[in-house]
Amino acid sequence: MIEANNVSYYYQKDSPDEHKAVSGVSFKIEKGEFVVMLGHNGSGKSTLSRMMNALIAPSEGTMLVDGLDVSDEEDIYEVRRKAGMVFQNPDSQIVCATVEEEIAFGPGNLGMPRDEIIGRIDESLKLMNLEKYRTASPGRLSGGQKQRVAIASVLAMKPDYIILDEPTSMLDPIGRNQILGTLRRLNREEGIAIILVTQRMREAFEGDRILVMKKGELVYDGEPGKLFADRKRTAAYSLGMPEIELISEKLRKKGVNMGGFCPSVEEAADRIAAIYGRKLGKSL
Amino acid sequence: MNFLKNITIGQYASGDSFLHRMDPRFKLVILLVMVIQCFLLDKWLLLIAPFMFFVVASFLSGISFRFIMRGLKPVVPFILIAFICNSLLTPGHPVLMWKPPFAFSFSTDISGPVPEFDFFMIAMTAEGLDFGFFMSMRLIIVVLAASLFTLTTSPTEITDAIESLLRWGRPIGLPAHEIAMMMSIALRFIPTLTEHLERIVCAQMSRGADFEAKSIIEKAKCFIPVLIPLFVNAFKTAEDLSIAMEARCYRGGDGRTKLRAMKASWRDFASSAFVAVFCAALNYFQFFSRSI
Repeated sequence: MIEANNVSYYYQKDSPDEHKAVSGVSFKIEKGEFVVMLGHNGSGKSTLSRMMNALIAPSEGTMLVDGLDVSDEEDIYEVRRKAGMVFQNPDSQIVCATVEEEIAFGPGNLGMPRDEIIGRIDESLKLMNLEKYRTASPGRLSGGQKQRVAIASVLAMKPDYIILDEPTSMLDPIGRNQILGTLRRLNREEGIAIILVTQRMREAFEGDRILVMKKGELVYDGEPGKLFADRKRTAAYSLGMPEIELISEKLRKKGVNMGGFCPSVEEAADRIAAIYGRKLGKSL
Repeated sequence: MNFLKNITIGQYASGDSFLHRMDPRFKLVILLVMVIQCFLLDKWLLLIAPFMFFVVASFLSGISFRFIMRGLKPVVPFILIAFICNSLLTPGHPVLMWKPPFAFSFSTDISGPVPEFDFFMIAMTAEGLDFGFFMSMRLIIVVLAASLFTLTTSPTEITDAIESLLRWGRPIGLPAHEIAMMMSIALRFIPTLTEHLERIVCAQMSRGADFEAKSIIEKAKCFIPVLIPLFVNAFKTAEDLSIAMEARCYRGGDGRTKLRAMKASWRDFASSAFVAVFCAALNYFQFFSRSI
């Protein structure tokens, strides 16, 4: 369990430029969850995600990963192993010249014996469908493949949680869908908790739980459907609507009985099919 | 725009040949020994032997000889300059000479044994030709040897070998792991930085920057507005990379395990023995030829 207790973080603390990036945030993330953290630029979501990986320690409050305190120097490597982190830019997080060495980087840092590293490489490559690219140079891969290499190299450390800080923001639609599909699969089949940090409304519905950050504060923690059904709240957090809801909204205005908030394309299709079916007198 | 396209020095051609399979540490030491040996020789005739050594070695690399020789292309101007300068500027017996009509000379007797150096006289001397040949041979051998090494040794193997060899200097405080890590990251980032460079150049050309300037100074000036964003970019990438490395538990070289182990085999011992005999023979001939 990742547990944040009243966590705050100041940049340049005790200087004239002091800036509070995170203020008084508390939440709990259980093993096996899929959580989306949504927020605009400067909402503190990246700062918070870096705390979960012990890259920075909270200025106030405590952040615990499976009971280990991220502020405790002795525990930080265990925290980093348990809660792996994937960053936004694939080009500036790949360290090595070949895919397999990249995956071996993390386990190597942990001082794992060579045979075990090779086993972990095989496993990670298989999970990410990257077997073909084992000895390839990361520079020759596409953006989506590079991000998959980055995820594979985190997987090699057998984490319980993977925190992804806007992993799709530099990818094309194909790469983006690849990554999102992979994350869903890792969550469902491997039971790894995913914490997806994003600004895209469309990705808000990837998980079963959503955390909304605004100006350093956690303003919503709960189901995404409930949040988006409440127009006042989304307006207050200045969140946009997913495209499918915008279409449903237009249909509603034209008199089509679309019902309430429409979270997904499948749901919209079902509702429209039901309406048509009633007109034609059969079920579609 | 294609920078660094034709350079084969420093490129790696994957393969499974004798040279590819050799231990990179042995390859590196043999390379150094052979280059030093070339610099110890003082007759170009003797340099034919190490040249042949590397020609044979390139057949052992499984890479086509033409491909390897293509790597010599960018060095050809240097070799030519070295050859021409040496052949013209070394005093000695002239073979070819040209004296401009307006020139005056202090020594008029050109049939003498060793004419004095004449400022206006352009003469190719026998000694100069000899020395020019010698210098060009040396350059060719060094470039050939270096490109053979990098063609058959992956960047990771090179850095592993350097790290392992530098470990001998650790008692005197040589940071072996850090040096090797810096080198491997530098190598890994060459393509990324080239890509940045191309993007910046294209962006500036689209806004009217002229990179086809005539004079060298103008050309250099053009690159200042390119280098500044490139450096800023590089620093930002370095910062991001260090965070990403830390996030994956990097904490220096102590207690780190590696994916690949370097293991010496019969190939390495056999080649080392051969090189030792080869160098001994060369030094013997050099000494012998001097004494007569």
